[in-house]
Amino acid sequence: MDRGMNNTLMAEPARALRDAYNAADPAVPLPSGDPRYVDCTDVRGERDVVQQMLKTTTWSDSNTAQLLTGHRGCGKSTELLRLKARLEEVGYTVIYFEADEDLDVNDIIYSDLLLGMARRIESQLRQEHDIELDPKLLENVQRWFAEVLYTQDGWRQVERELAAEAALGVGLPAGVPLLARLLARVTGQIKTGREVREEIRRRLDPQISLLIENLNLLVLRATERLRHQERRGLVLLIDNLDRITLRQLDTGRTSHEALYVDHGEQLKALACHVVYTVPISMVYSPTATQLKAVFPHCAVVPMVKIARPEGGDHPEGLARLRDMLAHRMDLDALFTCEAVDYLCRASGGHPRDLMRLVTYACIHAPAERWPRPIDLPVARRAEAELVEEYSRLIPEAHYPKLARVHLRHVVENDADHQLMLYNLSVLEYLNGPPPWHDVHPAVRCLPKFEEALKRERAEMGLA
Amino acid sequence: MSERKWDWPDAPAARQNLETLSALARAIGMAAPGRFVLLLAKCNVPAQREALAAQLRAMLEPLGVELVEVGMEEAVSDLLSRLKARLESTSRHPEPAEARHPELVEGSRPVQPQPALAVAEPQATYSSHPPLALSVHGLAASLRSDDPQPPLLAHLNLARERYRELGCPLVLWLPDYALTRLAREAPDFWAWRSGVFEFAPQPEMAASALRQVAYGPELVASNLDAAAKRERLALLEQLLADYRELGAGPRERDAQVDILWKIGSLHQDLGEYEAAQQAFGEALEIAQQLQKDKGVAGLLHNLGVLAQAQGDYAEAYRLYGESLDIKQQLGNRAGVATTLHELGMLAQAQGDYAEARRLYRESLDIEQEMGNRAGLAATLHQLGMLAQDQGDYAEARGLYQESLDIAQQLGDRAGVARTIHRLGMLAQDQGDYAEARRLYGASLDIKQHLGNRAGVAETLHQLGMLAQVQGDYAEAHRLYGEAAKTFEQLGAQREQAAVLHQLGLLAQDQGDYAEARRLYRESLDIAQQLGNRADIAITLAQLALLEEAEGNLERTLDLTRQAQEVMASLGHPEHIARIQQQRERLEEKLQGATPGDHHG
Repeated sequence: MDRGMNNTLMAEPARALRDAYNAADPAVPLPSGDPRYVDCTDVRGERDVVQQMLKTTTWSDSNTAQLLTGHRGCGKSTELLRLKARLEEVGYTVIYFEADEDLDVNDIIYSDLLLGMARRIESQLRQEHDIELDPKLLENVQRWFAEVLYTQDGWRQVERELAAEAALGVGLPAGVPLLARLLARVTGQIKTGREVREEIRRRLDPQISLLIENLNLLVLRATERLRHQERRGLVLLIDNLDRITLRQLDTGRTSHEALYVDHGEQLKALACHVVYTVPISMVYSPTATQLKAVFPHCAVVPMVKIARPEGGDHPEGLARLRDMLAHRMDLDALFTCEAVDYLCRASGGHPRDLMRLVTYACIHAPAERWPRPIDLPVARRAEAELVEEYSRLIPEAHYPKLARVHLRHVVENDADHQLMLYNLSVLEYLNGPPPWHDVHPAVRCLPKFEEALKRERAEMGLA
Repeated sequence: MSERKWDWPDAPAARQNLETLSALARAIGMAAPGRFVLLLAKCNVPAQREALAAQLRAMLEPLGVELVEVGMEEAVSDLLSRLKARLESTSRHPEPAEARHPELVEGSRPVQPQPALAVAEPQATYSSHPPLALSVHGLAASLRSDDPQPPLLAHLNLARERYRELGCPLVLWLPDYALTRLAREAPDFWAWRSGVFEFAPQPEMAASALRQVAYGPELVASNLDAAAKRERLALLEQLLADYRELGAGPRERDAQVDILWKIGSLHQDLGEYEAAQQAFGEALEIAQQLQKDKGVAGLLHNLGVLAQAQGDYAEAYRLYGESLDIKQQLGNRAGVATTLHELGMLAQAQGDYAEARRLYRESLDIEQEMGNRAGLAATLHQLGMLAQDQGDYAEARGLYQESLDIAQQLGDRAGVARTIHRLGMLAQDQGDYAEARRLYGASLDIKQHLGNRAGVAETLHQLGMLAQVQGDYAEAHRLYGEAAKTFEQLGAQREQAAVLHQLGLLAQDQGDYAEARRLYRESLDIAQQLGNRADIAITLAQLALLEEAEGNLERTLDLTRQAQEVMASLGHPEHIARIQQQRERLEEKLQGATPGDHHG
């Protein structure tokens, strides 16, 4: 029985619409093994992204550093969680965490990330895998941090405070090593305090290679212990890094470039396998080749392909999208066939936008009509709203470029195209490498786009 | 704001809005208990938003959902904390946040590590009977157009996962431009939306809002302090957006002219001359299309004032001339008087005192005839300045006092501050420094309260001169520096040149001749660009004195002659006399210095 709802005797259609509306939540990533998961591997592209990344990890003799990217809402997190499960199956110990939990993605630099990783490695090993690292080692590492970050007096003060916390049972549970407390404190300060953040960075910057060395001491000792437990090794998966705000820095670089390109080597210097998520726009930025040089392994989660670049549908893709919906709601009762088909096409193969379209359709569907309250006019209405929303995102100057992307299915490496991928007006597909691109179907409905397309066609000498 | 009852007239926009409102109600009502749903509502006019929210609350009652309205009075960055606090005070059965190894870090909120598997069920921290929905307004102040990185957007994008903890539908009301910023600059937050509901502007609502904000006694706007002016600007911008949406009919375009005029005036008051020019310029275009001659003439006049303030005298002259022609054709006597006054100021700025007096007198006559006391006060003030420039102190004081009396009666604080400043200058010229300081202080107080940056800078300049004359060089330097910086920011070149000249005098007083020369040269460059003869002459004369102090007598004489030429055309008896004395003294010196030419 629904709590708090006055009309417990809700009519069937209203309830069905309501359930569908709630099931189509654009905000939730699926955990691995969730029955709602639909394997879209073959309709995303011939290679299973997870399989690819798994191979890269397990076949390599040395430690790997990979990048994972894909559009916002394409299911990156879901795929990462799948990778975690697969790696664990073949004997790795995986530490997964979301960068934006510990750190401020609006202002993040590489040393912040390394600190966050240090903290997570220590805490997850201890809490979830029952691995207590050698106390002497921890003490050494902690002492190094204390020296770098604080003056002698400052450290005494901090030590006292942390001890007091421990005694009061505040913060981390008792018995936790001092290093853990210290790292928790420092990363917390980085996240919340701008001045403190600058101060910490200033102190760490000249000591980065030592920071990495210390980090690796922890990792190497952990790996040793894991081997004793007959595990193959350690893998770090860092999610939500793709959400770093794209900003112009004073140095003329972007925040993305500063992290992945300028400090890529440091990010790769860990003594274990790492996977970082990266914004898709970076792969198409003017520094893409530099990125490739630092990180040769970059996997992309593309959109579900629902069309072919040369024209025509890709019916298997449309079918999979339909399945995504069928797993969450009773399609036959709620939709006419044409309506489902229409919505799948209108989403452009973007799972979250599909969910959003369904949400809109549920809001506008007349509950009096049963079954199949969501018919073609309702689907059109939902699409019209999505189109209106996309029109907000697009600056005037982009329309001619969007027209060109639609005609040629190619994206150039410049700032404008980077932005188009960032705001989803352009989507990436894979029908077999290389990837191809097209403009989001919602954008294609915009009058300004149509005009730009006409002009572009004329210039290219087409009909 | 509006006390009118909200009827729903049967107009297309109203009907459309009603439909949209129903959809919004459905989106809220259908949400499962404990589920966070992000809904965005676009509405430009606060009064309209109020009415819509009231209607929405009525629609939600039969569904058993309570609408909780939360208004932000000032800019906010951590919206989530505010909303949680509000929920805490409203919900009747708050559930404790689950304790899963909360890691309290010094000085921050509890950071809860999420388990490796994201849970399918939404995490509700709060639940209450009956279910409720949050409706938030007043966010425009946190999303100002002139802020390139509003903290609110960073917060929304960063903390978006934690919004789930609200456990209820959230409606954010935003004006059009703010919604666009959110979409573009907080894309991850935007990605979570479950609907965008756009409410079309309704003509009657917009018209009544316009009446309240845009019309009213002229003098009131210039007496608001800076923060209130910005608030008013924001309201006007929103109104303008609405009128643009309403279409291109004559009534709508008419309203746009009015609004743009008000926007331009506010920017001008705040010293933002470029923004003011843009607004007036746009208004002018529309007024010309609508063939509203009276409006066109007024706007040309305003643009002239801006041009003059930026030192573009030729342009100002042209614009005033155009304005005057139209006004004379229309028989608009009051308008003619105002433009004559401005032309007089233009003449005075260029040192043509005779012409200035003639124009002022003409303007004065018309103002007295029409009983326009505000205009009268302003012109009397100008005549006072003219008299002071020509050295007639008694005359000047009388005129200033007359002007001050009227301004005080009218409650025109800006006018009062202006005239008190001049009375301060008069006292200074006559050597009564204590009185001068007192008067400057009084003027400064009023100007600061009104947010009149140019006026504040002017008075700081004068206080600097006072300090210098009394030998407090450090203080003088500080005050001049502040004044110069403000003038530069405002693009007020003439005033900037004047302060540079003063800084030169200061340097020379302290014996730093190289620095003094540099500053005089800088000031002279600007004055020459502006074509302002009086300023050129005075700085030339000063450079001459500098050369003399360094013993370069030939150079000195040359400069003095140049200065004298320029001065001669200006009709300022005291300056002419002084420069003549300077020249004669120099020539004597030169004769004495020539070896073998020593007469007894």
